[in-house]
Amino acid sequence: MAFLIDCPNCGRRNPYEFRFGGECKEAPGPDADLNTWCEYLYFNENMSGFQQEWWYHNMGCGDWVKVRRNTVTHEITED
Amino acid sequence: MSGRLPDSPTQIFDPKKPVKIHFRGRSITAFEGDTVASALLAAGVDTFSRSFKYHRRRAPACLSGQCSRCTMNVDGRMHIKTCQTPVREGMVVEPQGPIAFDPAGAADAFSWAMPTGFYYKMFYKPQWFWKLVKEVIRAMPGNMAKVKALPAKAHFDSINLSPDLLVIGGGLAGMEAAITAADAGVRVVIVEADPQLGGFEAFQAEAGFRRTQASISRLAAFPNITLLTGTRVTAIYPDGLAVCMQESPSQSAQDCVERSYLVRAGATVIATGAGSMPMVFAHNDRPGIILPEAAQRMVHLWGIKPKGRVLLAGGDDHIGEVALALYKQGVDVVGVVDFREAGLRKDLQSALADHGIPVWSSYTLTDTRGRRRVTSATVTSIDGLQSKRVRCDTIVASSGRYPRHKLLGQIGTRMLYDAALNFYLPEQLPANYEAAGRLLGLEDPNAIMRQGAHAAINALKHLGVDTNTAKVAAVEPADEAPMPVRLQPVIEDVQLKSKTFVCYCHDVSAKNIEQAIDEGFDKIETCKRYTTATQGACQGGMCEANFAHLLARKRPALSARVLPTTRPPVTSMSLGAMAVGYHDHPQVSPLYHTQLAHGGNSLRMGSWIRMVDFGDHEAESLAVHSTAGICDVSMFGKFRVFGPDAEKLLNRIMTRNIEKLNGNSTFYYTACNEEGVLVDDGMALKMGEHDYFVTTTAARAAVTEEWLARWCREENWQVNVVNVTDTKAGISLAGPMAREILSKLTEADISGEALPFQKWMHMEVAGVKAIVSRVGFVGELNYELFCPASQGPYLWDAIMAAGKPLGLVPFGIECLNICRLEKGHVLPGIDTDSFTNLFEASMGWALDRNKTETVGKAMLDLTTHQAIKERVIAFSIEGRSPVTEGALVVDGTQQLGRVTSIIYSPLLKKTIGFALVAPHDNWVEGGTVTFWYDSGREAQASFAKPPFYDPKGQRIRM
Ligand code: FES
Ligand SMILES: [Zn+2]
Repeated sequence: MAFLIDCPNCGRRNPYEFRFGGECKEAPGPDADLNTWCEYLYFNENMSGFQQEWWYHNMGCGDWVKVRRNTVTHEITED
Repeated sequence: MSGRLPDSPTQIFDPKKPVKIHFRGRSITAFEGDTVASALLAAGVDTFSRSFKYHRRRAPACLSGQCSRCTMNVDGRMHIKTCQTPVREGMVVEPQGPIAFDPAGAADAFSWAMPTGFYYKMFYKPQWFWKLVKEVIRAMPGNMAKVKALPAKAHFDSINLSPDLLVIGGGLAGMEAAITAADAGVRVVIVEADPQLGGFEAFQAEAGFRRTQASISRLAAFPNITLLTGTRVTAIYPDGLAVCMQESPSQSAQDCVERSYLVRAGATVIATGAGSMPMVFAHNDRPGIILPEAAQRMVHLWGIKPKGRVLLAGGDDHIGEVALALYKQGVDVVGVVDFREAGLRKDLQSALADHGIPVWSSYTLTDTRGRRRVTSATVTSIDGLQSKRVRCDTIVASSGRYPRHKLLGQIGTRMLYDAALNFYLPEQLPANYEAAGRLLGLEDPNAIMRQGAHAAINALKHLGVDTNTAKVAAVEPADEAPMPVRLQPVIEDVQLKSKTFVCYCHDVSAKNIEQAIDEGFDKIETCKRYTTATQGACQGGMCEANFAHLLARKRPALSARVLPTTRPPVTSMSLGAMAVGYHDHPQVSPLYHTQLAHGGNSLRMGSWIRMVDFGDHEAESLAVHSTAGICDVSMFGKFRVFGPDAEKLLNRIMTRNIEKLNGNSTFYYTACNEEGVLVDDGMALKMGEHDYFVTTTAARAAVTEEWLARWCREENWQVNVVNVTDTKAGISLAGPMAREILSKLTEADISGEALPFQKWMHMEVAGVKAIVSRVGFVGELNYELFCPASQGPYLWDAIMAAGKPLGLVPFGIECLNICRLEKGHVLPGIDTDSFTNLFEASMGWALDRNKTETVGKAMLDLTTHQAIKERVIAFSIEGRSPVTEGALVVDGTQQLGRVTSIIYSPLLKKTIGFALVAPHDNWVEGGTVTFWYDSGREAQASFAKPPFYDPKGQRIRM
């Protein structure tokens, strides 16, 4: 992985310091039905292009960082 | 001084610093700056390896890491390109297989029996024949090393770099690119495969050398340039990552034998240069037949004269320049063969004539002779009419330049054949890449330098650097056109014989390729796969141009002369150097050494090294039940969770309601993921207002921090999580005598009334401040003590000393396993898997239905009414059973599940355990559980309802 991740605490860091945490998704409310929950739990957008995703800085500050990354080019942009 | 030429400014070895290496049992004196190959060549070694199929003698052809005919075993490491490996004192170099006399060399005489597609044709039918001979055949190939374990001392390392600009190739173009970019203030890494900068020019005669020196000294002035020499780029990726390998980066093998660099650059300039194409003629693979760069490197870098009489052959003026340069160094040049009609440039012709060196224009090489080494060459006129034998011991032959384009293919850039130039030029590169130098066919040094600078300016623009500064803007792009290459004319019948090699790595001859084309494999990709040409260790570096030209000659109608695809790695690299970034650091408890001293047997389990037992886990378990035992539980994850919103976070991850925890009660919790799958359990103690001490299972200790952070990452909660796993030692003291032992060490009131089951308190034990709680894991009176890690060993020893007279023994996790199975405790992650939800783990009671904010509760609520897919059941077998963990639980031929835990309890005289199984009618009192183990044996157990021991739990409440 050739890109770097901007950690708000640690600065620009090598992505190997992070653990990928998946697409940013909004959890359904407590009253949502089973279908909605299954959609949320078991399906992903699998974007080819920019997506919002979570990275956990496990070899750094220990914070979760939200990143907007192009899954094809690894380009990272501010929202 | 050991047969080298007199000192010259271009040499890169230091004749005052001898280095000894060992080769086939003898000691060879080399010099600092030598490579293994240069040292061996200087010592007169002729044969370096044997070829793959016919076991023909092979020796270095390029001395620049392209041909891989120089590979040997170096210090126990296989397939090392000796021409790229600096010598190191005491290095042990061994050829891979017999080189002097090779009985398998007989294969050469039987080449007719190995046609193209040999494997496909010979062993297709009957199948039994293939089974018979495959082991023999697979053992046959030449220069194949037997895989041996690396010597333990071999050490690899890995470095990450993130410059603004990466320059690949330290020739004139690369250096100029680096200087231009560094001048604009960006951070540059420049990687050069050779031990010295300068590329092509570094081993030209003195004019080229002076030019490189000028660039090198300018480059040295920039502190923002990082220089990596002796480093090969083996892979690049479209997003800017380059993987580089450095052989023997340090003078001591103890330090490091190979280092990888992972370079992530904002932009990259590729200036890998051009190499020489070998000429095609019969027997063109004999030792002594080398490329011009090899001859130049020998003479100019290492002061080694090519052996004996030297014949040169080619189709450009460069070969004439090389001939003159060799002559000036005292080499015995016997002639120059030029396949062009016009022949060499006039000045070169007359200079050669002045020295009495014959030049044969419009002639080409057609054949060679010689056993250990070439002894003569057949020189034939292009019209095929005249032919003569020329005695020679070395042939320097090349049919022209060929771009080193391997990396470009990896970023999706194709090389397009330019028919006018007979050269391949890259199509448009990705935005973050630039190409420069001889790679683009340029030859004039000034043009190359200007073009390098221009590539850097484009890269700077891509990086967003202002390029309108005076210095940078002054550089004009090079407008020189690339120089055309003259294709080698081929005299079909005399030149393309069966031993005219195109692919040297796999012994694929021109005839083999023609045969494949005739059989219909006439596209480069299919022909390549069928003949295995270009697929050897050189990765096509030596052969693909000739391969493509040959295809084009046979099938002019096809749009031939596309090159085969390229993939990483471009050159061989060790798995060790690739894997080195991942260090394995098992965790050890603060009580590790103390336990070893008590006779503990340790074992790696997950991320921890833990004590399995102290000799006899069954005896230990009996001691726990009759007197007392002590066990290290430091590997539990331990966390301090505090802050005004601590309850909110804990309530989110725990299925029970933390608000119900008060005073000095202990609080057992389970944790699920969003699917409702049981992931963890542990204990929480309330240390103060909004302040909790939380333990987790050992396996989850590493991820709990992330897990807790995960569940408040989108909130602005006031809560802190501190991982105190390593700062606290944990000791479990269990058994009927536990209270008596503990009371010897503390003033605190630990009577059953003051500290009953499921309560905890702070106390001093043997003067050590500890958190002491009453738990029920092992089914006896059980204290769990947590104290500062540094005081753990002292506390352990104090408890042992106090308990010894009462029969206290240390115990390990095998005994712990017996005790917890006797009590029927399910371990998340061991007895359950990543599909087992809380209900299926039989822990539904731990779910507080009234809470709303619990991870996994929504799914648990929604699936409550659904039939469960699997469940954890307990079973028991009278006496000892040979069944082990992982045995299948079956019903006839149907698999129901598997055994997750099983152990013999000496107390119960039964084998007991858990299985994770699908629902079945047998899972009732008196039901039978059938196992299938050891690939076919069956055994029976009875379904059981835990706990097996003390079902009323009186002993834990003592
Ligand atoms: S001589 Fe070492 S790779 Fe060619
Ligand atoms: Zn960070």
